[in-house]
Amino acid sequence: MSWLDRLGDWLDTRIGYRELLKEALEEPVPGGARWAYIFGSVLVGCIALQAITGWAMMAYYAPSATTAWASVEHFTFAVYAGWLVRGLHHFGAHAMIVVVGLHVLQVALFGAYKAPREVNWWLGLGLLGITVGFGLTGYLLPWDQKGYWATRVATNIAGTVPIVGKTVQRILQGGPEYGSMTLTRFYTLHIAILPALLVALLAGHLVLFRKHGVTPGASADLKKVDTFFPVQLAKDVGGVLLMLAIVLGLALREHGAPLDAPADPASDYPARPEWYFLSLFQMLKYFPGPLEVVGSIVVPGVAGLYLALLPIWDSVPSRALGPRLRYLAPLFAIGAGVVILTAISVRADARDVPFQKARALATRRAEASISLAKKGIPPDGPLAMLRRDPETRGTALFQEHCASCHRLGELGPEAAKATAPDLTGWGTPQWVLAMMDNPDDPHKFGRTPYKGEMLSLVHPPTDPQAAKTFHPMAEPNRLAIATFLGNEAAEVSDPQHDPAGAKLISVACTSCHRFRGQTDDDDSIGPELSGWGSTAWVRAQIANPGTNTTYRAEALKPERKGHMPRFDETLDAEDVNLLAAWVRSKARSSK
Amino acid sequence: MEHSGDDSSSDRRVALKVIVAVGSVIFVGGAAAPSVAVALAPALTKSGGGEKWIRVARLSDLKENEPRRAGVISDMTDAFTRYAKENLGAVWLLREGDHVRALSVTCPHLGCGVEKSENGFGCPCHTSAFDITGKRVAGPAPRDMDSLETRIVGDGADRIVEVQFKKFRQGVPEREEIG
Repeated sequence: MSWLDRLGDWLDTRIGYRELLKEALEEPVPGGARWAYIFGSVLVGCIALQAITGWAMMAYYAPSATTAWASVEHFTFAVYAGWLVRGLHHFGAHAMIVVVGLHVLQVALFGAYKAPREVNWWLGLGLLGITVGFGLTGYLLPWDQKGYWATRVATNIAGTVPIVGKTVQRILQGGPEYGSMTLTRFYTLHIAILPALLVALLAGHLVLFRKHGVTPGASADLKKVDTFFPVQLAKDVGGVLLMLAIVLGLALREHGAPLDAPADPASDYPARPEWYFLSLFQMLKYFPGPLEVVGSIVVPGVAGLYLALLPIWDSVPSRALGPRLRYLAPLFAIGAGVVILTAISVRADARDVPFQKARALATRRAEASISLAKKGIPPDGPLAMLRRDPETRGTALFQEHCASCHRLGELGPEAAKATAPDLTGWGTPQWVLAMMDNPDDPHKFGRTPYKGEMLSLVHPPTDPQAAKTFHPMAEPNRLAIATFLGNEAAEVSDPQHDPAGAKLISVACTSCHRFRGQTDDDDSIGPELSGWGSTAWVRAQIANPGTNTTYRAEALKPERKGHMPRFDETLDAEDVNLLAAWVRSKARSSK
Repeated sequence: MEHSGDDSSSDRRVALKVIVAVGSVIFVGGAAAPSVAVALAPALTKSGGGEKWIRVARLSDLKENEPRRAGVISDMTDAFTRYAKENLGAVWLLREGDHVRALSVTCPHLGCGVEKSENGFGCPCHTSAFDITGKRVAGPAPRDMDSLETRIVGDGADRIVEVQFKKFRQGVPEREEIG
């Protein structure tokens, strides 16, 4: 007798493990082992994977509105193998949803919900609900735009439930609004309450499964019996390994899990739920206003009720599929509905140009956030980090305050809808030359209240009388003026740069424009040209266009409907400064 | 029952048992390896090093033979958070002419804060005692108090004491910097 056997005997007389093992492993599988039976074990594999990766992430996660995104960003990009663990957990969750679906389908097709296994079917439905709960609560935890907006929609749906909705929503959110208390609640559910429920229900599920045994297919040869170990278990292990391989493959291919920009309640975000909720999301679109609750609660509720009542409703003694088809028809209808609605939703988004544009913008914001976070995130959180970043903040301010009239690069309205000059390339000599060529070009002042105020220096005016006295400005002079103004915009440090250009302007332009405060015509509305295009000029123009630093007060008269408003009343000085610097540098660098 | 029988069936069962055993090991290993790596990452990642001088006092505020405690305040990154002007720790400063001796307040024994005593310094936790230069006199401390490099910058009345703040492993006889 080897020492291993002796050790085994010693232990067995004390804890009796051999009996337990025998019980567990030699369970008969009537009709023989089948691949169709693997899904339960694959789910156990999924749960194990989620638990292991989840514990690893818990060690790095900090659940509060200011730290959640930061800690996930850190885990993903700074911790060794962190990205892989997040990827495994993310795609492991997807796998779990898929395998739960397959498991339900197998049990339904084999009629394994029928007496005496009804209670186990109900326990299974409970486990299904818990799985969905894991998906929902886990989605919020990174506190990124994606999770934040998608989960807000979900809790708002809970809020639309008649009578109890408001209370339920408050309890779920930990208050009237989303915040740190929502995160800690979802975190508690995700890592403590749902796992405890899962373990309890799963234990019951397995005990009842062992009590009643496998449900063989209706046509199975019951004379053939395999034992669970090793015949069925080998198939199960194969399934589990395949699941792990797919999850690992996805995690490697996508290099972990996605992380969107930090949750920003003030942003407009193209919110979409995770793919397994897309069908529910799509269904909401078909129920207008007061009927909303039908799509959000009633239809899913009826589907759930059908599943729960299926073992009682289907009283056909046979487990053969044919006679049971009418009872399973709703299940197939639910499956088909989920597939069709998901497909419609995906297709609609793929063809939705504004959605794609918003999605691309969100992706850029996510990339900018992650790149900024590399320098460390301030204690007041990633949103404060973004607010202090000129690039991100500048883009946001431009979008909010300027982009309904001005175009700048990719930002702003469609060219045909812009009602202010296109700022792309503004501040460069090329822009000045184009302006002198045709001030009423649709990209310049052609669609503004100043159309017709400045005449081309190249082409004769349309008025034949005026055309007679018109002399185009010589090209070298135009070039000199453009160069001078380009240098002003470039903030060339020497104030005496290019005296020739300055002289030309003071001679040729001051009949309408101001130049260094001087003009021949105090009634003209031409803007000040000294310092044109500099940060100071832009700052003055944004704060108040009518102070003579840029335009004169005349230029803002109400009859000039659609002129640029002043922003010093709506934006604080810090934002005006930031926006001015951003607009100037963006305009100069965009083509 | 089909499985009770011939040799080929029993060979098949052995093969299946091997598949189950090997497969289980692969699954557990594959599922757990990245998480274990993440859990052990703090022990595997090297950190520390770098030279940073932090101003801690004005030279004129320090007197001979009168140690003064000074907080060390500087920018700090804790995991994902970047703090501006955070308390990093503290040092005892002792002026010796135009030079300043800096001793970490962290007891080299088990990390309590060393306080000033009648003849030097003492640890309130396990009563290790040190003389005014930080030399161990009594108690369980395995080494002298940790001295830190200092330098004086500026001229005249505005001369500033800067210290190169470092932390050392506790409970061992040799000084060993920790990240």
